[in-house]
Amino acid sequence: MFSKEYFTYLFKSKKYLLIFILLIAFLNTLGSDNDYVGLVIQGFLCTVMTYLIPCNVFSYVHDRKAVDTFFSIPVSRKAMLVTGVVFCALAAYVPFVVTFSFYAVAESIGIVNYVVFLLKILLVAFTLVVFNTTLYLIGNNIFDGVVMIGAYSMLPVVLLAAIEIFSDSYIAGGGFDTSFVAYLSPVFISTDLFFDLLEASIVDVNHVAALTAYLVVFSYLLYRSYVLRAVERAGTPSTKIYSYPLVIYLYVFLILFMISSSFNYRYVSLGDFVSDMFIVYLMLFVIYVAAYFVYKRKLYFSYKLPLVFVAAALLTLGFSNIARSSKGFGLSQMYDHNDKKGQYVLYSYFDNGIPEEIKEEFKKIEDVDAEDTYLYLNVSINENPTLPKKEMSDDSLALFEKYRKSGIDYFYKEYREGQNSNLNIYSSDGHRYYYAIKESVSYEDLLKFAKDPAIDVILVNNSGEYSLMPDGSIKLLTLYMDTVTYD
Amino acid sequence: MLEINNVVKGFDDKRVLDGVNLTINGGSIFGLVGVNGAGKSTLLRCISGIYRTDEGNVLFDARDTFREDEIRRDIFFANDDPYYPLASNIKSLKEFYASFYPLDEQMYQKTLKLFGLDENRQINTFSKGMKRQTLLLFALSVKPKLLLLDEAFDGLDPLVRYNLKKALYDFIEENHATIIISSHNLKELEDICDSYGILENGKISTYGDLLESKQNINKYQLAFREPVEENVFDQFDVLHMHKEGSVYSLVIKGDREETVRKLQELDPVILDTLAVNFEELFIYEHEGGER
Repeated sequence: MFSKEYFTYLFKSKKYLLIFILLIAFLNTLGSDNDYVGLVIQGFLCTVMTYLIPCNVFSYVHDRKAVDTFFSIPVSRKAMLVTGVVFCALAAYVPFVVTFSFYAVAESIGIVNYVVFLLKILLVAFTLVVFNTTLYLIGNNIFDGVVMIGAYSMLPVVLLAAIEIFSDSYIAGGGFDTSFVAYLSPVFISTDLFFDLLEASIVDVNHVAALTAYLVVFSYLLYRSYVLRAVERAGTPSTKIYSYPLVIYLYVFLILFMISSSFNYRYVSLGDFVSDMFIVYLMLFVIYVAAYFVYKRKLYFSYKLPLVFVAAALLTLGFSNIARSSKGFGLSQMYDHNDKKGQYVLYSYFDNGIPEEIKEEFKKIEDVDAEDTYLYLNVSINENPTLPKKEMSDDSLALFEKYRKSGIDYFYKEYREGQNSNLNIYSSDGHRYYYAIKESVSYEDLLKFAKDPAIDVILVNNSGEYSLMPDGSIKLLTLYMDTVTYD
Repeated sequence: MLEINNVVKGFDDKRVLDGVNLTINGGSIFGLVGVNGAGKSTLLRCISGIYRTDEGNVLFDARDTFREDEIRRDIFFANDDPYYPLASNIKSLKEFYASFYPLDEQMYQKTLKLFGLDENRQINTFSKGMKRQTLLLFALSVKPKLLLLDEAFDGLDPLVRYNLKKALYDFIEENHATIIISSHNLKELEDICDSYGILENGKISTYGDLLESKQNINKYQLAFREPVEENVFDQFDVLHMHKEGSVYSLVIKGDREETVRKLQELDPVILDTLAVNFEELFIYEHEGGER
């Protein structure tokens, strides 16, 4: 399963590549004043190397002439693969391990933590190398291999963007759970795990389990792709369904999905929307045809191309139309915010005039002009993450829910007028929801909020910040420096 | 001994090899011939274990050349368009081949001298012929028991071709190895091969001892006093016939003496027998196969 001869050959033949990697690591270490920052940069460089080194080491698979040489040598394909992967992983990460070892000694992290670190780095190194090599071998030639690495690596990012745009467009409050996207790429997981690496004693079970799953699945795919490979495909166009065809259709569909999601923003008829966006659709279609040219390596046009494109465009527009008319498939109502310990921040402006009660209270404070240029308030709980979490009352929660529902209604209105408030909710489980609300917070509600000891009701104007007290009085918190005159 | 058992290999929808069966004994130089696209290179790659066969297998010394890696230590495939890593020279290639094969230093030095190649010069500065010689240098230096040469004589000047043939003779004499050479240059093959096989329509249509086959196919020229019916030749295995007046040129497959005796029974005025060369043998077999 491992060829010492092939490893020795790789080591000798790639010596300039190894010197280059070590040089970069050395220069990075020299150029970094902060050990921690230096390690982070080096970790990033190692991730980049997991893309570059397999492209170099496994390039022979894509070269028709080289295939004859490498696949006729007396080493089994399994051994060639395992040895190649081990070489890539070591070449990418040994400089980092060396640098970290110095860091570990300097910081006295202890032998157990150091061993945990080594195990985690081994997992990251092998997973990324196996993953990137599998993507590289999807193609039948070097160009296609590089394109496949790029296309599949970027796919989760484009998917995330598409979900975010859809969520912001059709789901009042947004907050669609996109955390799963982080698990769609081992590079994302490795990045998260990497920061854990520097805290060597921390083992994030979810990340480790996800990376292990990637390692197992992609090892199997790589085995099939390399050991069972029809090497005669080297240097030919990549025609497998999961190479260009799948990549082109996925990207075209996701981009069409993003375009159709913007339909909601514009509040125009479907016909006007398509008419306005015609140039965008046309440009995408040209790119789609160009992608087929790259795929086929020749000018290619078939009735299927516009047919598929138009079908996908209609499908995404139809989906958007349903999402729009069904108020985001009712997803905004699905989130039940009974989260008393979440972070709630309700900003309100007073475009229609400051409540008389507040004006009167301001008059009681010397040198403060209630009719100042602006006034807004901030009703918040748990805004400061460094302080212990507080729990609000049921009444306060009901008040926040009232404004949230008002925000939902406002979001789905055909014509939106100017907003006077907005509500941000960061729930305890890590989701963020944002609601624009038409009306300002009423004085009665402000008093109710003020009566909850867990909630801060802060009034802000040009002069400074004030706290609304449960009895309706106003207390100065901070006077802004530029309003203070010194004799 | 090399045994090729019902080997099938296709690319996409096209079957290039469609049930190739062939046995080649040790110590022979086998010429593999066929028209362009017949599948000669594909067959050599199946033999060397580079390509996985769709059906059938290739056994060398009773071991599967694709599945058993160790047997490939005894096999060397010299393709028609060699691969050399960027900025490599003969010395660095020597490291590569020495890593995987038992490289014979004496043979290496002897062949290097024979070809007159510079060990330290970068291979990308070599001519096409020199690049081929470089691969042949290693093909001989690793002393394989089975040497596969694809279009071996292409791009070589006459002196190098002569040197290569000499090296191959010496090599086979010293090592009792098997050599399979595919080439379009049948004259070159005729000089060096003792057996041959013609690959046609995905199968070995004809194979055997070259000398015997050449003796078995002869060209006959006959002239008659009176015109004769052409069906008088139906009793022969005629591969090619040309008629000019009452003079017939025939290429007939079969025992020479027996054929001459039968032709004389037709009472020709003139009967001449001429030997065919390998190129003619290939052409007439190919024509016969197509007919």
